Amino acid sequence: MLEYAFMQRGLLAGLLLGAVIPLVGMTVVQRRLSMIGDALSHASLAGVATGLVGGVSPVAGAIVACLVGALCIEGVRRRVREQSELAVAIILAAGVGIAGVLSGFVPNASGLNSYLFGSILTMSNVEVTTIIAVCAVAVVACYALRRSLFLMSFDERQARTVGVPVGAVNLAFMVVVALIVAVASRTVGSLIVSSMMAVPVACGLELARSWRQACLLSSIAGVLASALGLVASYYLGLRPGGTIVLVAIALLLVAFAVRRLVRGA
Amino acid sequence: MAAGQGSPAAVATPIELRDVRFSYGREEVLHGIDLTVGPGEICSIVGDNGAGKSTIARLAVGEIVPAAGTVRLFGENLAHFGRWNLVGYVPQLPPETVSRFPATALELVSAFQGAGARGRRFSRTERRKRSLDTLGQVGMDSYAARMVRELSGGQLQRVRLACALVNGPELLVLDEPTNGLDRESREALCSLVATAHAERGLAVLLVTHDHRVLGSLGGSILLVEDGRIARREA
Repeated sequence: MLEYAFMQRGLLAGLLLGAVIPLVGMTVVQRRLSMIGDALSHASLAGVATGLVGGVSPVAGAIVACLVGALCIEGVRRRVREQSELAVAIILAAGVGIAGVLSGFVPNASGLNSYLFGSILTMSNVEVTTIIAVCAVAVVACYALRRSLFLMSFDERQARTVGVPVGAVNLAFMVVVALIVAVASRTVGSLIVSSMMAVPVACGLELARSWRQACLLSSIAGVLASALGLVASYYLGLRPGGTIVLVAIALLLVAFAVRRLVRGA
Repeated sequence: MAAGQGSPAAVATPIELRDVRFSYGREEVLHGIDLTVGPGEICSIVGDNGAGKSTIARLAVGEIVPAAGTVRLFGENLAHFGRWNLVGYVPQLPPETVSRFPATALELVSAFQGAGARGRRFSRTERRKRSLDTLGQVGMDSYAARMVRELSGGQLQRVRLACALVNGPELLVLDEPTNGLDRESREALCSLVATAHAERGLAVLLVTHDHRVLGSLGGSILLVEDGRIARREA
């Protein structure tokens, strides 16, 4: 299957995102921000629809929409902390609403559908290059901020008193999440990307004996899910995005079983 | 062991609150609090639930900002304070924060070390050694590789105390550190705080509703009632 250029591009994008989404997802899950991934993925749909209607790049539209959504959520989180869940819900609703209205004006409805469940095998070289660039930014940011993100995941208040610039780190992290969600919506799909932030991380958390191991195992689970999902989708004629998530869930069940076995032993 | 003795910070007043007021929304919950914790002093704040004890601790470490009045740490206005390595803080922690947190005790203490400790950058080996030493001081070195979610309440509080002590602070702020601990764990924790105070010359601000803690630590006691300091006792 690797003789096809579209499969090479799909695999490269899938493996990269499989490794990087859980890396970002680790902090998202530990800070109980999983709903933010969901809200931004819906915001990305609004951006995609705007791009398709306006005749500009849907991925660019998704990136702008995700960034605006992330900044709105972070702005509300800073000012009215207790209303942050409401802000997430509003961004999610606005994303669905805008996408729903604009979908009536999209010239080719299949274009929008491909962003709902992903279309990893129809990506252009430019899109793959964008994914590589965003993944590189995310990895560098996660590495540079690793200690701050770790401390904030444990206790944001205590992190503040050891000099962590919590506000700035939050903002930078939200931008990274927004970028990752935007480019991933093209590959695994807007409706599935938040699952890829949570399920591989759950695998890592089941088996890890340290934070470092949890990050590593989460990324490995993401890569495995992407690789096996893409191969299965190619040979079985399934949708890649959904197949990747189902494989990730299968891996999680294996992780549960392994943990139970280890405990039993 | 006396990390900060002789340094400029050691002669400055660790905590100084002057006529501090704080409101949640429109409701003022602290009304003109004056509080000073001098170098090497222990000050315990006691009072009923909702009296405003923890709010005072949160104001003292800059977690929240007063509506009026001034907060100074080591002589500096809190808005400009940057020497956070001088402050060790153990806030209250909801149990669910720890229940899924995938880190070892050593990773946790190491992360608290050096983050923001301006002018103090250590190599990974040095950081590991300092973390293990600090875990040893709270009797938790043999649990260094254990996941924090697998520790008992008392063990976890000792690890959190190590996190607060690892940068060699000159001020320790503890918010209800004995909540949910049994008698043995409570006494062990108090003993560790007393030892750290005696050996390092630490100033300690302790918030507690547990009167049994007070006897083992000594120092001055402030009774907070309805957002005011109702009584001061030596």
